[in-house]
Amino acid sequence: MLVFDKVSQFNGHRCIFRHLSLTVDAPRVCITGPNGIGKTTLLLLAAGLISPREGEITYQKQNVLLTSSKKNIGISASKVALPAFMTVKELLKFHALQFNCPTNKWTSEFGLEPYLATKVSNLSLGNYKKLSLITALMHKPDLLLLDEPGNGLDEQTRAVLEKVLNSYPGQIIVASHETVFSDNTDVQHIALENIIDGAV
Amino acid sequence: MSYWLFRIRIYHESLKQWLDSLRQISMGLVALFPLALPALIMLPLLSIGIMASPETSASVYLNTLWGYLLLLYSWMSFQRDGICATHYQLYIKSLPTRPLVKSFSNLGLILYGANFFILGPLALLLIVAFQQNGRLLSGDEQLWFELIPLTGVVVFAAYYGFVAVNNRLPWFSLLLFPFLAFALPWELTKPEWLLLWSAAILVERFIPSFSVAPGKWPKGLFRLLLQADIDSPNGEKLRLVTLLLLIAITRLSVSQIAPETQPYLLNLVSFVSAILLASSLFGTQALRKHYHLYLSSLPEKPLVQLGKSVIYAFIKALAGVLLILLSGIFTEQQWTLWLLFYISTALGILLRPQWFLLFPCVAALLVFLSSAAL
Repeated sequence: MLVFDKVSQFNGHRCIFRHLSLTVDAPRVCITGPNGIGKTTLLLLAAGLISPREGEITYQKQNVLLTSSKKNIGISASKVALPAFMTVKELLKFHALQFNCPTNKWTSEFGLEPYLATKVSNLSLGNYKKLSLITALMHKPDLLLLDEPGNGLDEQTRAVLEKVLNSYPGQIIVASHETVFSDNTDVQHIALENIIDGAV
Repeated sequence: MSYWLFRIRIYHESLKQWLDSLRQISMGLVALFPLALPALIMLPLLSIGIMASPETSASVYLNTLWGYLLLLYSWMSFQRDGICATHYQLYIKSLPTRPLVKSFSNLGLILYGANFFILGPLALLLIVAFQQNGRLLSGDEQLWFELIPLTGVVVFAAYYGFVAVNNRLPWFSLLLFPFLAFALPWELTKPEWLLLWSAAILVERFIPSFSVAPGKWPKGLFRLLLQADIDSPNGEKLRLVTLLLLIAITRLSVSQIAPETQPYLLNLVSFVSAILLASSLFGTQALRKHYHLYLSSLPEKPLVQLGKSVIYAFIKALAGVLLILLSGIFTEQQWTLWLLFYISTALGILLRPQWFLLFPCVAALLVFLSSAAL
């Protein structure tokens, strides 16, 4: 269960959230809202990649800023820049070593095998997105945070992603304008514009 | 690949990009002053020798230490992105690596990046301590006293190395205090100067941080240029640090050379400082190029925008002029030359940016020929 407790966050002087209290316990969640409302910021906060100005965010009653929380969380967001100077293979090996998990399976599933020797900086938008998704999925985290996961992906990969997400055992929170879950999946929708100034 | 090797890889990649971008400038420098780069590399080596020597006077020690720390600060600032892996911070934070490993990697990279600046005086200090351990253990006060200046270099170098990596500008302890220290009427010993400098560091840490927020003025393009500088102040910060380094080296060199050769050195300093301050126009021009579509959409003639950019760059240069003025190193002759070199460099940047150095060089050559004819 992901809990935001009286979280406030600012971008410079602009307030994004003020005393936001939110409990996210549904297994499939979709965060919606207009551009610039703070969807990506909410995901970065949930992953413990940025610290809130005020308040606390916990996952399974553990502060997400703690290093021990990282193994339970996976994030794919375009703001999380991946080392551009490494090849795909090098990065995946490094990532796997850090999380102590195997590298195989995902590259073939997402069709990234032919690009293993390609430098991350030379990847197309779609292949970069695939790599980002793999780094989030690889260690099978209990909480998967995905920012616009379908962006730049072709139809075939979207189908693979949908299949992966539907059978994924952990909790998934997606920030997206379009649905990535299949129609029969029970999804909790959170409209960010309705909650940023109050509690849910 | 371990976490440490990963961070080292990021550091090397960043360093490579930095060196690539510097190559063009350094090639120009080497063409102009063939000995400039070797001299720059030799500078810290010589400085350590001067600062470690018991024969060095307190004022020369202070000046050398200031120059050494300014050079270290610039060196570390250039490497900050590589040492901190700035571009990959979010990814690094998502890794489950133990905080201790992360902290040790950061520390290791700072020492690796600072390299000779911290390890050099530290090694020298350890060698002296090892060779003279008998005298040190017997409580030889004279030797203990003589080691204080070198210890000060190690401690201050480590401190400013960390400060530079953490992107804090030590505006009081490294920029203002040593600059004003030379105007102080007291004659202090080296340990006393170090104590005073430490007090300046402490004071600086208690001064609350402040940010520059322009009010309603300036407006229009001036406002845009100012906002860009406030948003990315690193270029101007380094220009300021380099100017202060130049002032420190000039003060040190002038006191060491014969009076009849001093004007030649000062003319060279006026040449270098004019190029340094005029180079700010590169940033302004790059900004205009980056946003040229937007700027073209504004109801203002391109020539007016260019004029405003040049005026803005000149106003910025006035801060540097004030520092040189306060340091009192220039006479009227150098100020006249400075203005000539500044204008010719600015013209070079505007007309032929790739060959801009030719303009002040031709101006210097003309001055030389006319003075020889007289």
